[in-house]
Amino acid sequence: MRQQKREGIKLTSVITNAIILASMIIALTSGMKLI
Amino acid sequence: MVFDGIIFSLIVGFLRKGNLRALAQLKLKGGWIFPLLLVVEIAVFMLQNDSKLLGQFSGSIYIVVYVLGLLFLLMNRKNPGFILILLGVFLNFLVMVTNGGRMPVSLHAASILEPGYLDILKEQLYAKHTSLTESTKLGFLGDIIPITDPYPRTQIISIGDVVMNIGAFLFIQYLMLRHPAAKKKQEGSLSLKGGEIK
Repeated sequence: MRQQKREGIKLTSVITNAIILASMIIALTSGMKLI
Repeated sequence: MVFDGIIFSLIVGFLRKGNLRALAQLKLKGGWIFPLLLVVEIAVFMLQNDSKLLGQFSGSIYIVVYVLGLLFLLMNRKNPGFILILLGVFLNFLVMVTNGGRMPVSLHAASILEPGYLDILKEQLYAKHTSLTESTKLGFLGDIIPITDPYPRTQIISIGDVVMNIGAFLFIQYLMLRHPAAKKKQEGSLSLKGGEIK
């Protein structure tokens, strides 16, 4: 149970950091017709 | 382009037997601000042609977004590659701030895109862009680099985007291969192999 909770917390951190990095790139890049 | 660069960096990282373990331990100061800034940008993109007031202030809003972004990168500059990302964003910021908060796009370069994009660029507000004209300042830092065939996604990028891309590539490679958490995983799998031989 504890192990599952630890894995869950790690996955949340991975997703949170991935969202931060992806939104940073999209918000600050300038290229036209990027998406 | 930077988005494509991330995917390319991830592929290279995995080919070099890297992993994403470090992403769980990464601590970025003030990182929560970016999803928020992106929502603001998307809202401005969508509404700037419907609201005159928003259209008028959209350039200033983009400048605020970039200033906050630069502050974030400065606060987290110890991460490998972030100085290059900071430099790239600063180059984009510089040309935008000297041209009313919008990124100038070379119409000549934009001719590689579908004609619709050129018309939108000339007739109304499109994303955070504007046409590059004779009165544009620091035009060489604008979106002037066309990327087309054989590259699968036609687009126009700036020098700042290229610099940002190199920084993002270095950061992702560090994260996947040289970060202590990534190394731990690699060492772990090596010792497991040794155990199996025994």
